[in-house]
Amino acid sequence: MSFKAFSYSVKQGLLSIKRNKMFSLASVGTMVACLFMLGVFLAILINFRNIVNSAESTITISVYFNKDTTPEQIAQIGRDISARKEVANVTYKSADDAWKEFASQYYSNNEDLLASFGDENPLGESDSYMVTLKSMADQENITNYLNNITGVRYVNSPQSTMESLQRLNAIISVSSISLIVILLLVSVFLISNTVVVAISVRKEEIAIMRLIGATDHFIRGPFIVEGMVIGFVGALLPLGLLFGLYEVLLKLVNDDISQMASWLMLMSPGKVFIILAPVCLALGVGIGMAGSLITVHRHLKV
Amino acid sequence: MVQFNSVSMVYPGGNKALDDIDFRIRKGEFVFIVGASGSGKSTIIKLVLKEISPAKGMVRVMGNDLASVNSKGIPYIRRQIGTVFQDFRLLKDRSVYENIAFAMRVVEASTRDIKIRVPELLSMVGLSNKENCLPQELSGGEQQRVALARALANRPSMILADEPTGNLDPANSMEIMKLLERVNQQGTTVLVVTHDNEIVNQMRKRVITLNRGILISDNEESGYSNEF
Ligand SMILES: Nc1ncnc2c1ncn2[C@@H]1O[C@H](COP(=O)(O)OP(=O)(O)OP(=O)(O)O)[C@@H](O)[C@H]1O
Ligand SMILES: [Mg+2]
Repeated sequence: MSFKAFSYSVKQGLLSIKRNKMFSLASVGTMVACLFMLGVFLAILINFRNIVNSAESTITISVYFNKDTTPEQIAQIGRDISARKEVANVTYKSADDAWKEFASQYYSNNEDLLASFGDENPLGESDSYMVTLKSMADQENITNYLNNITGVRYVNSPQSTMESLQRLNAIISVSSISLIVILLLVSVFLISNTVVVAISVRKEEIAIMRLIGATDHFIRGPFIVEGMVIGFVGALLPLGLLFGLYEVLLKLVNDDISQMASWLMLMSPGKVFIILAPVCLALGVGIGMAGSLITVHRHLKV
Repeated sequence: MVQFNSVSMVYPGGNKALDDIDFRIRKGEFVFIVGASGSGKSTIIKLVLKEISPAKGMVRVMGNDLASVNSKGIPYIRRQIGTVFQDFRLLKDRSVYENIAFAMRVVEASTRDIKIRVPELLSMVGLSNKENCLPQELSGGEQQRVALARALANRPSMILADEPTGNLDPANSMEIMKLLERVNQQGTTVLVVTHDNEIVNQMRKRVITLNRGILISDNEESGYSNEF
C-alpha cells in the first residue's frame, strides 16, 4: 500500500468516525467497558502473582543434621544444595544460634527456667540449613532430594502452606484468564457489529468505489483504521480510569496492610501499569483491527 | 473496445436475461442499446463491468477476456471505464467538488492533478459555480452532469451510461446527450442504454436493439476503422 493510500485510509477512517458519531461512541463505550473489566482482572492477577512470589521467598525449608555429622560434611552438603538450580538461597544456622533464638523467643520472661538448662544446649542436634527456593513448584523434588542426603536427620518443609498458596494461585490465574478470554470474545463481537453497521451505512459509497475501480484494500483501509482508532481510544480511557482508581485504592489500603504483612502490599502503580498499559493498548488496537478485518472480509466481497 | 461472443446470461433462479448475444463495439464509436424493460440492457452493462459473469460465451473488454481477469484485476479494468446511471449515484454527504475528486483519490491521483483536473471538469459540464454545493442542492440535470464529470475524471477510454436521462426532462436529457457527444468527439467510446426513442432518433448513431434477451437488430455501419 502506497503512502498516499495509507494517508487516505487514515483520513477517511477518522472522518467516518466523525460521521458515524453515535456508532463510534457506542463501540468506544463497549470497548471501555470490556477493557476496564479486563484491566481490573489483570491488575488483580498481577498483584496476586506478586503476593505469591513474595510469600514464596519467605517460606523456607529447614534441613537438620545428625549429631555425628562433621562440620566438613555439613559444609559440603551446603555447597551441594547451593549448586542446585532450583535453590535461591541457603543459610547456615548452628545449633547454638538456633538455641539462642529459641530461648530469646520463648524464655525471655523466665530467666530461672532458662538458667536450669545451664550450658547444655537442648537443641544440640540442630545444626541446620535454611533453604529458600526460586519457585514453589520444585518444593517436592527438593524435599525428596534433601531427605536422601546421608547425615540429614530431618527435613522440615511447610508443605501445606505451599500447596494451598499454589492452589489459590492456580484458581485465580485460571478464572482471571477465562474471564479475560470471554471479555475478548465479547469485544470482538461488539466491534464487528459496529463495523457491520458502519458498512451498511456506507453501502452506497462502497458500491460507488467499486464502480470507479477502487482496489479491495483501498476500500478496506478506512474500516480497519476506524476499528483500530476505536480500539485505541477504547483502551486509553479505561487505562486512565484504572490508574486513578488504583492510586486511590493504594492510599486506602496499603497503610493498613503494611502493618500486618509487608508481602501483602499492593504493587506500585508504575509496576502494574508497565504491564497493564501495553497489554490493554495492544488488545484494544488488536480487537479493533480483528473485528474490522473479520467483518470487512465477510461483507465486502466483490 | 467491447466484444460479446455468443454470450448468454442466466441469473440465479433460472432467469434467462441474455440469449446468445453477438456484437462488437470499436474504439471511438457511439452506440445506443435500446429495448423494452427487462430485455437485458443493464445486464450487458453489468457484464462489461464484470459485476456478473456470463453463463456462456466470451466478453472481451479493451482486449481482455474478462473470464481470465481475477478479482484483483477487475478494479484496473473498471478504471478505464467511466459509468453514469439513472440514479446519479453521488455521495450525498460530499460537495460537488469532493464527489469528482473522490474518483481521482480512489485511483491515487496526486493532489496537484486533482486541483487541476476537477475545475477543468466542472467548467466542461458548466457547474463551476456549484462546486461547493451538496448533491441535494442541485437539480436532476445538474446532478447527472456531476456524475458525468466524475465518470470522466480519470480520462477513461469508454463511457457506459445506463439510462442517464431516465430521470430528466427533455431539455436536460438533450444537454447530457450533447455532452456525451462532445466526449465522444474527443475520442472516448460511448455506450448508452436508453428507453428514450426521441433521443435515439435525434442523435443518429448506431443502435443495438434487444428484445427479451435476444439481439433483434444492429444498424452497425461499415467504414469504421478496425482499431480495437
Ligand atoms: N439480480 C438479478 N437476479 C435475477 N434476475 C435478474 C437480476 N437482474 C435482472 N434480472 C432479470 O433479467 C432480465 C433482464 O434484466 P435487465 O436489468 O438487464 O433489464 P433492462 O433491459 O435493463 O430493463 P430496464 O429497462 O427495466 O432497466 C429481467 O427479466 C430481470 O428480471
Ligand atoms: Mg436497466
